[in-house]
Amino acid sequence: MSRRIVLNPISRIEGEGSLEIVLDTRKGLREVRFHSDLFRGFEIFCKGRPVEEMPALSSRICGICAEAHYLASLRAVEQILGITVPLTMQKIRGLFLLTSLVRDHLTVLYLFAGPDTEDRGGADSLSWLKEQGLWSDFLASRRRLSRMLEILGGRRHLALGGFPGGWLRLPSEKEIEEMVSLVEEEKNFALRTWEFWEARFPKEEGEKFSWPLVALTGGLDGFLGERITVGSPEGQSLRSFRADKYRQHFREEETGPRGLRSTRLKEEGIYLVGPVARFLLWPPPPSLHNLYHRLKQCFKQFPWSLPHLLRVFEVLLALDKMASWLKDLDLKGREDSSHEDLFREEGIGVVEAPRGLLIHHYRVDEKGLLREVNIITPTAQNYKPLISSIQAYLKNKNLNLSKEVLLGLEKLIRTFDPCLPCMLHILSPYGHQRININSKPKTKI
Amino acid sequence: MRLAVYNGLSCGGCDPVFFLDVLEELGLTSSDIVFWPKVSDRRLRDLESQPPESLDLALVTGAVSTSEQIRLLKVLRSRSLRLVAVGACALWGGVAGLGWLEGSGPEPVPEIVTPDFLLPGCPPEPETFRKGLKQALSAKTSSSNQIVGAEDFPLCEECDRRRRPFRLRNFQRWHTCDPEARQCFLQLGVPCAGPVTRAGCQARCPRAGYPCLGCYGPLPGIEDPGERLLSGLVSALIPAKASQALETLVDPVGSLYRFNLATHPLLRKRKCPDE
Repeated sequence: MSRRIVLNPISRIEGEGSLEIVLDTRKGLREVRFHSDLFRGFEIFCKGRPVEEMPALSSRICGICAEAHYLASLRAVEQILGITVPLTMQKIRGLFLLTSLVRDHLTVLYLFAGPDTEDRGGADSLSWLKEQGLWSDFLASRRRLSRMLEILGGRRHLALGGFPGGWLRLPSEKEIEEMVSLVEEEKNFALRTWEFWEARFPKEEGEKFSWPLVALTGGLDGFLGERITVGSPEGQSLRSFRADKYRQHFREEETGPRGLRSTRLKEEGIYLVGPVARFLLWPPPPSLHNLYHRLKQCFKQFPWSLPHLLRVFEVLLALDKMASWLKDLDLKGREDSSHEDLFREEGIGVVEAPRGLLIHHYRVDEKGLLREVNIITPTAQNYKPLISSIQAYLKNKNLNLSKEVLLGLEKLIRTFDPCLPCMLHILSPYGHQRININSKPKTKI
Repeated sequence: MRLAVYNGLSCGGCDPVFFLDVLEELGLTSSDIVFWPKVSDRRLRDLESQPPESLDLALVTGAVSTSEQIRLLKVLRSRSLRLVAVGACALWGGVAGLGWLEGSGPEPVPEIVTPDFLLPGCPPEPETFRKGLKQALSAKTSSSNQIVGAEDFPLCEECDRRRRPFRLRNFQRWHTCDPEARQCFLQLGVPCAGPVTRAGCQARCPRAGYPCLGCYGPLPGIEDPGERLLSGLVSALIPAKASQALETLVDPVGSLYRFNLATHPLLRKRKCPDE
């Protein structure tokens, strides 16, 4: 006999999906399944499109981390066009990516995870933000970050602005001054965010993990790095390699009839990407030493909120870095890289997206039209660790699936910050019939 | 105000604009959120248990491609007084509509249920969102498929790029242009959906240096915007060079029907041969 428990939808995560827990009344937990109807087939319908259009198309993969997809795609396009990017333009891109990282992390911290600090069910983020007196400050922060993206990328949502070899619209001196003050104001909000989360630092232990870690090599500059580091669960670097050689180290495998594909390290198996991997693999930052060492201590106990605290830490670091880039930004004498009108066959673009390593891999024909598209997203890489964490959590609770246990389960899922629109080839509609192209017209109501 | 938001098949980029740039300005922060998975713990059964027409406002921000999404959309329609379809995916299938080139893709919301209002954009700019929802909330009579938020005139009227009469020898690809050029993209030979697309976004992409992608949808009266744009482009070609020039137009279907292929008349014919 088996029993099913379905959480539909999983609340306060990016994208709509459900979780099905299948219990065997005698043997206990049989299976945990994620379902989502969000399959859009990006890697299929992008074939045949001109490669230069891919950054704008791929920013539609995810409305939350659009800028990370945009930049990874732009970098893949540049490889295909054989372009290297001047340093100043790299800094503009860094500002663009870190602004979106701060916005993304704050969205997770306040909209998704915030109500979890209260330990009660039935919450919605709007009432919670208002109750905590955070609503207007949070909106003000959003406005600042959206304004930054508007200056850098022309739009506040799904910003663009990239151009192969450079950047389309460089900020004026006045706009740079404006960004300097926006970053300063945002730092104050970030410090308050730290105080808020620290005050709610829970004592209870979370699920410890023992997965190898993967991130782009380097500190904050590593967000736009070109090498990948593989490390032990404790953060010791095992090896590093050029990102365009990723296929020599990762294996993508079809896992089952549902067209799912997951990524593994050829040697170590499943692995973790994201804030935890970055914190442990990257060298200690030049600032925020105290916070860094306090967080390092937390790994012994690994409270459930640790990944969220690491997000706040990254927000603080990113704002420091943005301030220093803005100070040195010299935009006099614009230099864009030129390129020949020739398409190389292959391009691989990587960035550290807010949720972790993101790879865009394209192959094109002689006209520069896409022949193959493979996009490996952080959520796809973290899928297996997430499922095994859920299984471990449920086993620890002796399969007593009370309301509190299920709330705790969703809390655990949110620490992974899964993004379902990003899951691309990981999730396909399951158990729900797809519309038949030849079906009769549907009845309208 | 009782409120529900459902994403469906989308990138999830429209409803954050609603939450963060619209709720406060429209005085909706005291709303009772009956269903909105991204920000609320309520489950599907909470939506299903609502009486008919008990929601003051429901938004759907994505297309649909599965029977479950269709079911949910019908539930949302029957429970709401005002259903607003938001964004290019909900209105015309969005970029995922390009999947129809490979034989399967999503259906736009109006193919399944009749929304009262349609609010375009990918995503809608905050100003468009606010303007469109104000129109929707203040409407006294019921509507069906009424476009709100966007303008009835072409995007070119909001674009600040320099425009002069021109003839084209051939088409150019965007990445080969000078990024600092300030001329009209069409004059440069780069397909830009501006002339057939509704204004309302302040021409943000062309101002930032990227041709209009067409996410605010076709102007009133244009059933096939891609065909209309192609016709305009071809009329600008030097006749003696036209056939050679057309060879330089890459991926015409993808660039001319980027957000609305799922609504193309030929595709509708293929899906519903009896119509």
